[in-house]
Amino acid sequence: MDEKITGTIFDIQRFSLSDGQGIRTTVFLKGCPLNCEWCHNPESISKSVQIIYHKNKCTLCGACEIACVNNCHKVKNGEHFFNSKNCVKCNECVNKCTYGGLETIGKTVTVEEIISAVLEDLPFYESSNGGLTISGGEPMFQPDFVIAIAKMAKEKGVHVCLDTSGFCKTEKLLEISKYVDVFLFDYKATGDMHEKLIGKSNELILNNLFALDNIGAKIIFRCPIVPTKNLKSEHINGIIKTAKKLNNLVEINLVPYHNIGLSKREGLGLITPEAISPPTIEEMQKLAQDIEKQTKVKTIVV
Amino acid sequence: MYSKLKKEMTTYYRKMDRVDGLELFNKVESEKFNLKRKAIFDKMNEFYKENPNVSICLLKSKIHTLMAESFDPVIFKENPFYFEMGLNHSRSWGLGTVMPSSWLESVRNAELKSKHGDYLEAENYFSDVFGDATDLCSIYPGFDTDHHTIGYTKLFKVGIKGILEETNERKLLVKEGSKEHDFYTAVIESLTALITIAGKFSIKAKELLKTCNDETQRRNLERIEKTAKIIPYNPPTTFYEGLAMLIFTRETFAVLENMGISQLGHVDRLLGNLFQKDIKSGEITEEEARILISKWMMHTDIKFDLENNKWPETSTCIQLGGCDENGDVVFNKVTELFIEEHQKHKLVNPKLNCRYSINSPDYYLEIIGKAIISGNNTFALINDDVIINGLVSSGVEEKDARLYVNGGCQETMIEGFGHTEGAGVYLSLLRVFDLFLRKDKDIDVLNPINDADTFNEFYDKFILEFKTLFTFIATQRNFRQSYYKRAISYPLFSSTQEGCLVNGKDYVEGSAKYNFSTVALVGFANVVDSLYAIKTLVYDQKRLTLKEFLTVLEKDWKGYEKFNQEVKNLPKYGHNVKDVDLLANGFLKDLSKIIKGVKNERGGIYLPSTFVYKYNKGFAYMLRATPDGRKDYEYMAASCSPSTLQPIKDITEPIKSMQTVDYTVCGGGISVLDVMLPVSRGMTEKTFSALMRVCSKCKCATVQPNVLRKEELQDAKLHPEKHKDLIVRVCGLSAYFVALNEKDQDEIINRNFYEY
Repeated sequence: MDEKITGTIFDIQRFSLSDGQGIRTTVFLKGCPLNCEWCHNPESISKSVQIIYHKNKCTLCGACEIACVNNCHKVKNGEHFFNSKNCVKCNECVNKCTYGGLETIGKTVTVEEIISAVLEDLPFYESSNGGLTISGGEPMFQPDFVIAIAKMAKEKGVHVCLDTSGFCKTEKLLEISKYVDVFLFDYKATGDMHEKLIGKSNELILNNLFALDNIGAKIIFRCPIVPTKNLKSEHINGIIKTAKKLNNLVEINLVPYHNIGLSKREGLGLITPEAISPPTIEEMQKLAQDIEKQTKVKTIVV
Repeated sequence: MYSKLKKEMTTYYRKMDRVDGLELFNKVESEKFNLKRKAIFDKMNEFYKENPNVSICLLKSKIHTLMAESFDPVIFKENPFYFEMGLNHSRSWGLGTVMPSSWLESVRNAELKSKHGDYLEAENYFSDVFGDATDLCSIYPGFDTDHHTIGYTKLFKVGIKGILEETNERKLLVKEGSKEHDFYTAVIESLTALITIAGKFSIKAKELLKTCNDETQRRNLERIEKTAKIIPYNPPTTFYEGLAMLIFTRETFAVLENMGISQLGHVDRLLGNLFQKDIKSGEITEEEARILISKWMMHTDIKFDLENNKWPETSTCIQLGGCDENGDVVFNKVTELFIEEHQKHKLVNPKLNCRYSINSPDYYLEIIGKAIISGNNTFALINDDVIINGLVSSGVEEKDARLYVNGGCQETMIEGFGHTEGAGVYLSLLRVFDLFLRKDKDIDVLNPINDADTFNEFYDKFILEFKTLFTFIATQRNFRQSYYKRAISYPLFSSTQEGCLVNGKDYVEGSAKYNFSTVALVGFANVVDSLYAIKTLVYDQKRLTLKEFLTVLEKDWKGYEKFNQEVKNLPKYGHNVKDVDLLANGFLKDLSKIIKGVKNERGGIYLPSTFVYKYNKGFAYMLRATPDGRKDYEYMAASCSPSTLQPIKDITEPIKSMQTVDYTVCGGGISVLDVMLPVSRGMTEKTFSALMRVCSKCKCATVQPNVLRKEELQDAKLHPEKHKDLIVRVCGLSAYFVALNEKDQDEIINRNFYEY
């Protein structure tokens, strides 16, 4: 029974306008095998349920400190300290936090629950040619769960986009392609740069990309543009070169880096990398024009 | 081309300005104006002395005759239209006390007060019962003299000529000396005055032509000379004549009647065929039509000096879209031209009240979206399915309901069928609930809650108290109105409303086909949330007793900050939480039943609305903490929008809530959902159109959209000089953001901005 399969998600974002065509509902699955330094959803990396601390909402009331038997929370000298090391995810602290300063990231849900939530927005899809986008994390990190979601959504007549890094088993990707209308396929780095920045070679990713292209799957490239990291001519040329090789690439999306991930990392108690200045709008638009000119594929900044 | 027009009109209107909110005039203009007004007042005093028993309508038509005789037409040579009688201050759309036509209200009202003890008694009784009631209700002292629309459809069919003919025929059938006879005489005199006024514009244009050499100006003057002889007497036969009919009657009716005519007309419905005919015959080109439309629309912004006015309200609206009386969709080239020219010139007024429905073409919604996304935040989108079905449920024939328009802010009017008094009564629903919980006024008509064993018992008691209180307020108001109507008469307006000529009576006598009054319930969402909080905490969870809860409120949540946050975290109306929305639906239905069950002094019924204008702030300044988590004096929610006590992440939530709460029970009374949409690449005209399509399906009430960057608003507050053109739709009115006062700016910044 596909609908009873469970998986972990960390958000459902409605009225989403930048994850595929029309008005969409984006379901974010938790867990990712990659570790991009610039990740703007660091809460999506771990497959496990996590607790995040929102400094801007905390009133330092100390309720979490009292609630936690493992001494993860300390409120001292007008500051809140969160040590997630001993956290057993009992959620006692979150339940006692009235102000939204602590939040549980991740919950286990069934496919049926997801589809039921998605179908609530059916009028929005109908009016805009929108639909469901499955994102993450890396949604293919929970392959059976994501395939079941896509399959059931398709059965209900919902347009499906899959936002993937492509780092997954090829057979699973081909299996899900039966239920996916458009792949939002990440293209993060080129050549050796990939392993250096992301910790994994892009060999599997490229194989999967071409495997999808070979079966005629519609692909939109999603290219994060991160100054000082991948905003380099070799990578831009890599995007162009790869794009030219594909027969079913319908669009290229340039995703400018933004630093929202930093505060989230801090809230999760993770090591926070050095801040990067986001690219300017003008820079991004110029880049999009250049890529579009060379690839003849519609290129937009999202 | 337009700069000359702006300069010419601005020079004139700034001379006619008022200063610091007082109706003061430039000295030269003031003396001139005062002399004219004094002459009319003197003549009226004399006339009244000689004819002390004359009918009120004949007094009004006498004023009209005197105004027509004495006024000096003001013609702007750069403007192809004629409308300015020079008898009004520049920032008036008809309301005010400085106009000569106000003689009637001022003299007769004072006289009635001195002659009729029971009138005074009625006035005093209300204040005796409530004391200072400004925290509870705002009741227009007399009729809601704003929010009117002329029966333009009738004027387009038969012109003043047709109305005069009908009146003359009817006059022959009634007895001389009867009330009906007097009314018909007054209508004839007033309409004749109107034709005299138009004729004087024609003569003036002819005079100006003698010394005018500028080609454009000559063209304008020639048009005015020719057209003012036939419009408004005849129905318009060209697109230009149609525009001339609308602006001339709107402006002159307002000045002559001392009445707010908020609507310039359902322009695409009225002008669509004339435009098509003229284009086909070569009478006009599209470019010429665009210029005419632009000059016609610019008038309001120029008059009102928006940059320097802290409350730049104009009331002036045009209506677009929707359907005609047969239910056929209204969308044509004229719709497009009005929206495009409004956007091109970055106009703030007239506000664009756009009707939409499930049948509206995508392209219509897209061009609205395109304009709004470009920063033209001057639109409201009114759902035909909610308003027409609502009006029908209130007894309005469907073909009549289809002719509704909205004006002032978005108040509903059925064009040509009477007056709905869209802003007759504002009632602080939240204060009523507060009195029910913690009565601190010595009034007999409302008993506070002592105790209730169940929430249903608590709720039923509140509904009962609301009924008693509302019935009292309405009855007292009706009593006052029955006297007040002896001091007013509107023969011109009435002559364009179906029923008035047939019955031979002014509309204030209840002679129009429909005679609604509207009650705006302010703080609807806050009361629903308060009810839900009490239901949950006191009755379901038994967390505290009602008495204990009231103690917390008494302390304005001080010492209970955590509890306050918990209450704010409770499910709220408009967040697509079924339980709360169902409570809202039942509550609105119960309120509606009570309100619609009370008749007004004209024999019509009261209609509920959740419209707030700016009273969600005004009443809130006087209202202490409430059980929804709101602290002392915090703003209430605006109309049917959810409160801001709990942020809402996405726009789908309030829209889905609308599916559960049936706003047609308001019977045509307006409910407005504020929708703050951030500027983003994804927010395209197609997305906007799709969003409105869903709003239509979900039976969403009126949507007041703003597409803005919150950061831009924040920056505009700090650096107004950089954001002079930033337009926002505030609360039914549109304004330059930087011209608003700090409190109003903050209220807009703090609205729910939806994420995507």
